[in-house]
Amino acid sequence: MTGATRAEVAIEVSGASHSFSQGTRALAVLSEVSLSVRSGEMVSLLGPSGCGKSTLLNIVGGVLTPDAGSVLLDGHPLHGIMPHKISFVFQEHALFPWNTVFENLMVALEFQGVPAAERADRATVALDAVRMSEFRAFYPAQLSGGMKQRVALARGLSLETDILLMDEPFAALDEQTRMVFGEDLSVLLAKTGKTIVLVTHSLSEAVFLSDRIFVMTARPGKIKAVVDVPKEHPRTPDFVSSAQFGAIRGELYELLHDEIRASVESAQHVPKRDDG
Amino acid sequence: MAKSDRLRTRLVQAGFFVTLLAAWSIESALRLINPILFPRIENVATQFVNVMTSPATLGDVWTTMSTFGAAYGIAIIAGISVGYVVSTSRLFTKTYEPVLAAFYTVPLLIFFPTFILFFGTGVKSKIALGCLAAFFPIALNTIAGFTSVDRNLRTAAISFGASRIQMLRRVLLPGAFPIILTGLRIAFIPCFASVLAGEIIASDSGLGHEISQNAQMMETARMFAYVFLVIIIAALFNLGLSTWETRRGRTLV
Repeated sequence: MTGATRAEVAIEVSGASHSFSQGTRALAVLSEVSLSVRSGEMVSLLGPSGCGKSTLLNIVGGVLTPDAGSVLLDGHPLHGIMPHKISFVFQEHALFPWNTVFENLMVALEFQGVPAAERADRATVALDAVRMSEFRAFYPAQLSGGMKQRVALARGLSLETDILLMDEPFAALDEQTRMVFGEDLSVLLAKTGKTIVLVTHSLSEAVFLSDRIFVMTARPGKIKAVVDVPKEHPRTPDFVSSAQFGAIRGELYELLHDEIRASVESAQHVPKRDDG
Repeated sequence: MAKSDRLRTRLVQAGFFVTLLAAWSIESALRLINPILFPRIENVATQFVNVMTSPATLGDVWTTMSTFGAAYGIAIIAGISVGYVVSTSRLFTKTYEPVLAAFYTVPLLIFFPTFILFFGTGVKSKIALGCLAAFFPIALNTIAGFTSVDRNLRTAAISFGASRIQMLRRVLLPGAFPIILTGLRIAFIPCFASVLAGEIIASDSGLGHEISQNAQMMETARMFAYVFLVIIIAALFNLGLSTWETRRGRTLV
């Protein structure tokens, strides 16, 4: 892997538990989750909706402090956010609607503390990488869903962090846009050598993009299984039609089926939160 | 299609005003109502020219508008500051938003005698009344604006390392701006009306004072000239604010 010279384990989560208060009682969303992600590896957190996968991602990113358990980054304990180490690509893009595409990247770089002189160059390079340069003066509202998500990806890339956390970046896209975006992402991320954690509820996306897939149980989320995808990056569309792809996807379906059913049935009793 | 619709709407609106003026002209010619109570249109027109060319008018306009400006300005600063502080915590919002909303329903003119006792019949009592009238809608809209900023955008800004000041400048203010601007527009009328009401009730200068004085001296034509001047000022100000509001809204959505 590209990150062989860096610390072997980039992210180490041990015994992370978390619950949200719901009225007077606590709703447990994560229960003693432990996982480790190697440097330069691309992993997916896959599970039924409400299984706490976004919560887990927020804990890894330092946006949320778990009730119990710890997170180590390169062997050091994580305290709060580390904008120089970790960047996010959010569900529904989270672009600032009052800023143009270019300004959105510039503002994020300003927040991260990048010197003013470097910001424009880095924003330009990142927009080139996702082929959105000609839309730099557009406002997010003027772009399609796929374009917005590409800009959100460029924003994450421009921050030049070792770790990139992606929270359902495909959720708002239609299926055809997803496929193309997935291919682009595979090519782009293979080049950068970043450590990537992707939250998704799509089996195909998880298989197509990941080196390893952490399958989670229904709420409260635990790691049910870890599935390897032994296939080098970048991956091409013919991987999708291969027997290997089908077999792994089938294995995931087996693992998830009961969990999804459990999650759907419990959702009828517990009001849904959008924390994933 | 849309363009011809808009033209038609404008024509109907213009027609309405022309009809009103025509009815008034007919009434004036036929002398249906005692002209001491309701002046004839041509006398009002003459008086309007007199008022507009009189050097004293500038002083009256200055008195009223500077009083209004001070009241509106203080209310904007106080309203946005209080609104921001209240919006910073969910507990504050839950506690104080209903209190501010309750005050907003009080007809604040009832406090004017108190202000006269405190500040006298000069401009200060009108500034206090106008400021009070504008404060509540501005503070309430500021709270609504800040709390409506998408939580995902805040989380994004925090994850990129935004400081408190950067969060305010780059995320909260631009996100809340359209709603705050609506608050400023809503606050304009009660503020301006309170200043004028204060001048009409007790004062020694300003447009409200002229309206009140001329009414008492049965100079109704001249009184109406001032009334029209006030209407024109209010309409222009409102037009400016709503143009700004729609232009902001259009670039964002």
